Amino acid sequence: MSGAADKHRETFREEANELLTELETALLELEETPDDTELIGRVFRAMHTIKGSGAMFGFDDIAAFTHEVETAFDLVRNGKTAVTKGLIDLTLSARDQIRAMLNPSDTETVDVVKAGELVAAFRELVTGKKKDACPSAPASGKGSPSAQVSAGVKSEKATYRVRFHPARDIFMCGTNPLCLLNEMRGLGNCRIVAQLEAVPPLEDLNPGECYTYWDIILTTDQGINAIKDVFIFVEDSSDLKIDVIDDGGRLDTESDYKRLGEILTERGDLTTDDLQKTLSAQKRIGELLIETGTIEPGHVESALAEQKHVKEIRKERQSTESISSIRVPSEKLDKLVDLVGELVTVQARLSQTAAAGNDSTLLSISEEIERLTWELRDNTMNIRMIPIGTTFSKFKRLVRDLSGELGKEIEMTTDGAETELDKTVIEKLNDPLVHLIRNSIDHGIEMPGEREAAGKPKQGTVHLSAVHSGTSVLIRIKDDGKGLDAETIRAKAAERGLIASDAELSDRELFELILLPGFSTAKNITNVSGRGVGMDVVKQALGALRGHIEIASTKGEGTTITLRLPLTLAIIEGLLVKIADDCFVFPLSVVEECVELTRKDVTDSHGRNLANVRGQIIPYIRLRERFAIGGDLPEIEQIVIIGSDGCRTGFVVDNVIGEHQTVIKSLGRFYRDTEGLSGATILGDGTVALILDINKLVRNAELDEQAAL
Amino acid sequence: MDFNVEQSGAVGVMTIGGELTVQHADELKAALMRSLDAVDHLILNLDKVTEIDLSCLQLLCSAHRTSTELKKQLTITGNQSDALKQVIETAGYSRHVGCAFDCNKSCLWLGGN
Repeated sequence: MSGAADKHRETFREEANELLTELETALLELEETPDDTELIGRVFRAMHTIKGSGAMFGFDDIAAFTHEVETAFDLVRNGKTAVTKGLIDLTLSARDQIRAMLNPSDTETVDVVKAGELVAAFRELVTGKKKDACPSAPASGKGSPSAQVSAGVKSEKATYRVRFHPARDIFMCGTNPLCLLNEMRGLGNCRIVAQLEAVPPLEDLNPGECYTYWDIILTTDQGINAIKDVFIFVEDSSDLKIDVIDDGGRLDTESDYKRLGEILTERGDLTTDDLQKTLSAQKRIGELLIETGTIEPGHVESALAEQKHVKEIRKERQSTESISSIRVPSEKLDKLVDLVGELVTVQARLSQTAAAGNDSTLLSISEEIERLTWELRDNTMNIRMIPIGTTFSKFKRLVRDLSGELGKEIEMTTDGAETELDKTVIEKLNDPLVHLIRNSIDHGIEMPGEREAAGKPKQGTVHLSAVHSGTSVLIRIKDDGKGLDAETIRAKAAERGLIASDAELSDRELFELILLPGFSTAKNITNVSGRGVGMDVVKQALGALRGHIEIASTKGEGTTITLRLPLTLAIIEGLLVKIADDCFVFPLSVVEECVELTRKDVTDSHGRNLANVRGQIIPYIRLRERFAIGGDLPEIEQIVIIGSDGCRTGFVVDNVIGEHQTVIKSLGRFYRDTEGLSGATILGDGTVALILDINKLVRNAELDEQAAL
Repeated sequence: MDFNVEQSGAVGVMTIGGELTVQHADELKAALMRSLDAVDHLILNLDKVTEIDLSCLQLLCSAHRTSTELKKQLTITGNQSDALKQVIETAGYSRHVGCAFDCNKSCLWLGGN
């Protein structure tokens, strides 16, 4: 019994954490557009859900606390108080407080005093407003009448197409058609296009007559009678046509809404023959119809409005439906990927066995299984892909808080929030991004005064973007701050003995120095950054993700840091090689070429590990020695040449076997910290191949070299 | 409603202000016809319009049609007042493409949302 209760509480925690994230995003957006009623609604709903389900699962303290915040936002929602920075600040603190109450283990103790203060602040806000509001609007306790109606009649939303053709003399009857249109707008989400083709030239025009008629697309939950009521006084003299074009999802059999041509023919504005004739010309139908003069542009305008309107409401409906998707703990997903990985491996064995044998039935079955396995693999990988947007919105808060702390004015903009990346990549990306953004804010963006003096806008910008590029994703952090100073970096590096003082380095090479551990040009260490640890963390984390980092900067104009990351960490293309009886895998993305290494080459270089490849001297590492593998050397060995961080390094192996779809398995707990290996994979015949960590191997070899000197 | 017309050569600027409602529609119609006769390019300045109703929107649309029929030009200049923008929006007059009469793409209702 208590087990089940715990499980429910756990589910509530998960859900509430997500709601809190949603709340934060909504609040930050609200700060930018304080009048957005939709956003206020989102904030309110998130609060309300937390309160409701909190009380249900016994989190009474959370429910009670959230209630206070909700009360304040109820006032905002009813337009009795405005959204201010103070309110947003207060609500953000409240959100943090709820999170702390929700995960008591995360923080040492729940700060009861702070909760009390926040509650008091909200209460003051509420009572203060009530005092103001009461005398002027004594009966405003229940919200506006239309809100009550919509709450009472909870019918399905439907979309109507209305053509309202008023009588010519409508002005004379004292009716203003615009008022009717506004009443329609009051019923719901509405698009109105006036049709003007009947408006005559001036000489034939009687200014007291109405030549205009309207196409109205309306989505409302109030039913067709509500629409008829709007036109009740002009019904007899006007021509009113109402069609249901979308009835809240029951008609959604086809995924796309009708084509423009279909809408026009259905309305009788265009005949099927004309449509066919025009279609055969193969251009955008709307443009064509207008060009050919087949129909009045106003009709196309209105049909396009209908198309757009219905697409939008369907999209909205879909997004609300997708919220009701199944919730699966991420461990289950990891398990699934593991299993699919195993399946891929076993399938490779099956294919191998089937190909070796002579049984055509077995062969066809194995092919079928191969096809299904790849499909299953792709699908599973897809499930793990999540948009990076959630991470982005977390940083909005970071930027807001930090800039406040440092007294800078910084706006964060994002781009490509919908870009999808593997779940694990996104999780591991958090820390490096935090460091990079902190750096941009602390070192990059100047104080407002400084910026103005430099002729820049007072408010600095940090732009975060994500974009797909082949099999990688590029994540950019761009700021318009003061940029990196190549000379300062050079001086600092020379002072620390990292480079010779007269070394000729490109700006790019200089910038890369800032990635070294302990390297900092900051004169003061602030609470945000400056200790020279951050960039090293970034580099390490990116290495673990098999990513690269590029830095570009112009002094005085800003810095752009680009992170290149692989799409997924679960499966990579590898190059399979053999040393004695052991198999190893190189990530294929870094392999440049393979060349032979003969005994003669070795003696020619007098025992130094250098190979001459088409006139270029390339240092190599003997993996056999590094991994202490015994046995005799073959007569001809192979060098796999790797391009990493701009320099080429060779790795000597016995044999190159070929390309291999590598399902990455992490090494067990004992081997996890083994240097030079990043994982393992299982081959078709069941043997294990180790995946090499190229950067680590190169670095270790360099360290050994330095130690030997 | 008040208006005045300044003519320089073939171009005339007609500044209209105040309330453009059905009561003034006849007067406005007559003024527009006179001005369109007199010049090749009539520029309307509606900055000072405080109120406009459907009848006058229709009238402007009609004037534009007349101008294209006469192979003349009719354009609106300056910042349109919020009142005007609001009514154009409310009446559903805003357009992405001009009407069939609009041969030189000078439709008054282009732009907006």
